[in-house]
Amino acid sequence: MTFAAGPYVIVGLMALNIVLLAVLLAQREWFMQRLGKVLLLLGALALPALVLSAAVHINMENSKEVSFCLSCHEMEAYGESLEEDDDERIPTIHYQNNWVHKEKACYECHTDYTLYGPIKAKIQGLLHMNVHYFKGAPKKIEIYQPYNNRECLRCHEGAKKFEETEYHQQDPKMRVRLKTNKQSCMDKGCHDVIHEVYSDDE
Amino acid sequence: MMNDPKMMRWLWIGCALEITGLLLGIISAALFHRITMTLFFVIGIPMILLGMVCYIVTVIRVIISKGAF
Repeated sequence: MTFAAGPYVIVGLMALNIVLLAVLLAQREWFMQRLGKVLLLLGALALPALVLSAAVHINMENSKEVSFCLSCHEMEAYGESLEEDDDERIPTIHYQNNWVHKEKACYECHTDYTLYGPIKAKIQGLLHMNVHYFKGAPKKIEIYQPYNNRECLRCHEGAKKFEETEYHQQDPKMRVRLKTNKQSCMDKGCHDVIHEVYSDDE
Repeated sequence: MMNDPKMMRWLWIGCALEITGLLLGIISAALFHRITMTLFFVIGIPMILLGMVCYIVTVIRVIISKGAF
């Protein structure tokens, strides 16, 4: 079975579960028999547990896709910035050179590489829904906290190009400052060209 | 004990909650839109979990009161 068939299987199981529960609700006298009790165990506990875990997994996977992030119009400019012909922009070169998975580019850079990172990202997603529909997006969208160097160093630390770059070797204490976020990879003069969605006067 | 309406009431409520949660799940999976997905995560999943809890609680109550389900 391919992953693409997953949602259809889940929908089918959900429909089966609903029919089973509806029948059990209509035929309550069945509970006096062993078969009825087994069906109830299946319909009220086993099948919902299976369907629930699979549905959460599929929804979580689908929501990692760039197309999902860009489904809100506030994000359109960020999506366009990935396609620009500009070798200076950090997200653009990562996206265009396949340094991140193209279909999960937003998720890979903007989710903490920690145990609860994906959960935190989903909770923030719910807050974004609230802002999108009830409060209205701010004129200038900013990330919640300064970008954590950990997300950069996870891939770059130890990489030949990173280690051999002269500036990275100049100051031995710089590595410590980067790891403790006292110095940002995106400091002015370093890797400071990001999405560049806003002009300087904004 | 299985005929006791008071005892079984929570089971029916649980089943109804599960059906509603699963319906939201079907809509969410079929449309895959941010609104339906949020509804499923915020309302659907707690409903299904609550329904499962109702079932477990009913089974435990029946076992305690009668000694067997």
